[in-house]
Amino acid sequence: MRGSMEPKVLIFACDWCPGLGSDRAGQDRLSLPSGFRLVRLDCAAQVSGEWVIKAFSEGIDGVMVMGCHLDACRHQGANHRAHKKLETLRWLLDGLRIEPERLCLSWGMGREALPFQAEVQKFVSTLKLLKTGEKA
Amino acid sequence: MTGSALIIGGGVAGIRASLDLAGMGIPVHLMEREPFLGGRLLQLDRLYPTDHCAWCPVWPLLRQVGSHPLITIHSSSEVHSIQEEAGAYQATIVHLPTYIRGERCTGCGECLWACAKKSTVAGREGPLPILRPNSYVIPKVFAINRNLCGECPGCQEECPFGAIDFKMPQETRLLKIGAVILASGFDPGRLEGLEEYSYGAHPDIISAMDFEAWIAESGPNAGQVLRRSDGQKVERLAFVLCAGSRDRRFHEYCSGVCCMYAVKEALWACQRSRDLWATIFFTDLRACGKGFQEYVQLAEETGRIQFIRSRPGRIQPMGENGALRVLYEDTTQRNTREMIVDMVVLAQPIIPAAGSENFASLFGVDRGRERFILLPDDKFLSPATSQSRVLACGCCQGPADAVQSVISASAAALRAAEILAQRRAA
Amino acid sequence: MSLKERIGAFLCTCGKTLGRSLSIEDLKSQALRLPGVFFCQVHDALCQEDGQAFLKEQIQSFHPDGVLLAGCSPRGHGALFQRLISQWGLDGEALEVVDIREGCAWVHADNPDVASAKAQNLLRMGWAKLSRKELSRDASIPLLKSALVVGSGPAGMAAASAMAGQGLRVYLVEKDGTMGGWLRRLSFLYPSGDEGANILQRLKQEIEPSLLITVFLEHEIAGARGYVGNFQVHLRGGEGPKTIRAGAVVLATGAQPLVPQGLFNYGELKGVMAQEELESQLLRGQNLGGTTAFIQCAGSRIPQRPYCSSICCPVALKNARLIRLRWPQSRVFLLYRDMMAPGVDLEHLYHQAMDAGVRFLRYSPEHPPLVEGMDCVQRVKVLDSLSGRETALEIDRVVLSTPLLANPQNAELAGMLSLLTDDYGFFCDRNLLEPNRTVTPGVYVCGTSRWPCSVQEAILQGQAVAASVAALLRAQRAKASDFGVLDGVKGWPAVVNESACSGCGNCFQACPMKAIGLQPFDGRRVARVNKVRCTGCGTCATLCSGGAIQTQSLSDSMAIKMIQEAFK
Repeated sequence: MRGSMEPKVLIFACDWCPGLGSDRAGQDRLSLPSGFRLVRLDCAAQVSGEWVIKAFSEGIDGVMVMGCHLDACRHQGANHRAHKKLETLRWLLDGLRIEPERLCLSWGMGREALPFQAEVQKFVSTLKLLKTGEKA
Repeated sequence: MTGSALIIGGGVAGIRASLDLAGMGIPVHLMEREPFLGGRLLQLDRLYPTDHCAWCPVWPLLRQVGSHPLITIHSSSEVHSIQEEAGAYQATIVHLPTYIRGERCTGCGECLWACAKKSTVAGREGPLPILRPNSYVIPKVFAINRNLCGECPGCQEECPFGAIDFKMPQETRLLKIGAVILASGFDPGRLEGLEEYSYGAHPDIISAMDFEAWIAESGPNAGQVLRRSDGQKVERLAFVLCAGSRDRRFHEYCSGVCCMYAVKEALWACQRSRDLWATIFFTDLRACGKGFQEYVQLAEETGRIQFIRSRPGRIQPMGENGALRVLYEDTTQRNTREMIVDMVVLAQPIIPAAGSENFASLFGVDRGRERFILLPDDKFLSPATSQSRVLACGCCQGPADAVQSVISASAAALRAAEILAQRRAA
Repeated sequence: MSLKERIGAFLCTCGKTLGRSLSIEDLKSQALRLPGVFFCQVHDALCQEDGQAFLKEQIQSFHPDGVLLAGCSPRGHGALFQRLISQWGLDGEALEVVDIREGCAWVHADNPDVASAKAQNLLRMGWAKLSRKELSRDASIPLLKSALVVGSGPAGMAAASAMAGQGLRVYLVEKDGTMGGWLRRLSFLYPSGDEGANILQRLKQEIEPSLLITVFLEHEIAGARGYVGNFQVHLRGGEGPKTIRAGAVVLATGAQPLVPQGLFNYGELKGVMAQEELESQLLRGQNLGGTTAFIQCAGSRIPQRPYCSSICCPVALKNARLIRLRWPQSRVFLLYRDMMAPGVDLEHLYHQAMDAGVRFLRYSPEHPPLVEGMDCVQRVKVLDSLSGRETALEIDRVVLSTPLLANPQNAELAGMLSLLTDDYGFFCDRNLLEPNRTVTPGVYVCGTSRWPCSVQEAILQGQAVAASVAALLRAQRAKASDFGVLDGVKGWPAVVNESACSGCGNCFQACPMKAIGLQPFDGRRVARVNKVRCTGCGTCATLCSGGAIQTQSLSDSMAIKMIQEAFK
């Protein structure tokens, strides 16, 4: 990936809605940005703030957390709390001189092929607009 | 084996019943006429009142059905005949050929791409003959619809596993069955007879089931709410409930689920489009289940969904690809009014699925009022039909939502287990 | 923490098609460079019969302690491979399936360099996860072949007799002196018209002679402990406290109608009664001629109680029609807001009531009917929303259809068994399509304790629960991971490192499944995970500042290493 202009994106995706979106995007042979890696989770609530910070410290340009709709989490709404926790993390990022837009939270948007592709492409475009190299 | 159960219908009711019976140690034959299990539920986008996507609660059930050692799935299958002998049934099941050998198909999709390319080159439109299993359906193998297929060997050449076999024969299985559960579900009723609603005269007068597919995220517009006539965004949407239901001309009964799914569709249309206003024309707003009134409140709180107690008298297209005029009597104001909208969704009735007539006669089971499978009153304590070894659950015995179907399916499974136990003891 | 040292890697080419989009050779070399990976085999179709045979042969010859398998999405054959390798002597969880098809080759089909580089990273990430995966021993739970049913109304009786029919020992606990619950007080049932007493008799006949059912009358639940397969429920009543051990608990505690105190002059004027009083009068054969007005939604569908109680319209229709048929000279009015009669049978009942001469008047919630009289009720004034005219009806009695309220005991039971109740006190379903299950494995609810329903529906639910319980308790033992998110979809519970736990209680407070408790350890209190309740969502792990509680499917060490490998 050295020298690539494509932003490096780490996607944490729960295995329900967004996991399905990822599979369907593949089945439809949609084209996705070249710089993303997907980590499957049982629930988006598994994503710890530590992991997000670690990702940025490893030189990753953007972190995306994808989960189910906020009212449709099968773990009795664990994603609600996850949302609050990760939104709070955004404040912290600011203090670490990481642009808050480098963390993207997506709830229930990536369940189908085209929306999954759209979500990832949108995030990658956002990252391209941010200046590279401005991370702590 | 006389100790087996036959479940007819692989929708959510059939799936639930088969898991319950298999869980109780009883071998199950689950029969489904389509190539994939899941039934009508998987055709929906969302479920009320939780807004779960329709596949999400069904997916784990499907996985279990697909891997349970006691469940034999007969997909693309039909019941050909039934013979009663010695207190059991001998069922002749026909497996219709799908021309793709399940054990060799890996879901790679090379066949589909080859077919799609050929169709584009040939300038052909319409659905492709190759049916693709979605990532969550069972069985996870492709199927070919022979009626649409020209039988060029294109897909066969592309398949890396030699899975395509145009010579695949129809197969017949003989099953010894001790108890039967009918779970054949529903079909959407026809709207053509409702002349006052001009269904078919304008592309933006659409049935509720079609509308749900139309605005689905996985649908043709990736979730946008557009007019079918000119592709413009829908800004004013109307839902007409009881279209063909509670109507002495067509179906006198209430289809049970329409009030709630209209609210669901209105809510989703409003979520997908910030500029959209919806009106729901209803007679009685039957939101009586668990969580239903709160769901209706959610709709009211959007500020963009209004409820008008009225059954519109006429829907008039205003010119080809024009808007639609809805004429109605506002029963609370007692005056006649008209509303101009971009699209009208008609909540069509639920009728017993086309196959149920066949099953009823095969098993000698009575149909009740309105042609649903009859559960005689004297059998108050179980979902048994007029034949003691045949049970019915889900929509084949009356309009029911997913939750009600699942409950009746489990009760039917319990009763089937009792019947089989008596047989074993006897 | 032990890393896996003998990982076997398998690359599937999906009929050689993946080789078109990425370099299998490079991927194989990458695999062999990973620490702990001691072989890497390529195959064209691991999911097919010959592929499975190949996998078996390799695993049984080389005895890896972990399997890294790259091919199609885990959603495709992940469960199959898990099942297979556990049949071949490996733990089913010592498997990591890496998606190089749907998520890689297929979405970067126009860019083989990108796909190849990404596949290598994904493989490294899969290796990172697998090598650091630690699994605590799955708890094995004995299953008692018995069930305890709380409440002997129609739902409880149906559940009890059906479960006994499946060979389970059943303990039926009832707080009253006789069985039957509200069924004892109902005259006729809808939609069949059966007598309540008749149905009650039939249900009792399935219970009383059964050798498998023990009925505890005048007993209540004092407390409950344990978990699925082995609940200990403490009863009080009778000769003294006793403890029943059961594999499953079924709650059928019912509901009771709101007493309409302060509504429509109930209690102020004679002749204004609640629906259940009418049922008693019907049972007693009292004369119900004259003019009757039913008022629906008395105390329901109002801001302080917004729900619709479902059954009040059908009950009123049934009773209104009954009165008209039995006393042909009577006049009956039914004042309603929405006629809640969905489906075939209930709409038919509505028509039958109309055909019998019941007069329907719709009122709007802004203008509820006014009940007037002096000492005795004399008239009802209603603004008919269809005609817009106010009508004064001279009436002899008013029957108020009030909603069912959740049994006040539900809150206590919910506390004892860690269940969730909704805003109105009814028990919550575990999930949309698991209507009679709760968040506590092994505890079920049916009948009106879950939501207002008819006697027929209550019986159906009782039978549905019996099917679930019979399936649950069929085996001798179960594994804790069987109760994960949903039956059959394995859920791995979180684990606590007691030495690192400070006992702060953050996890305990936050857990959405109420699966964490505190237990004594080394002179202090530490977190303890209830393995059958935990669904592995990870909320606890992310709140733990010391990393003492982790999810097994993706612990901190697994995740951090994966992040490091993602773009190497």
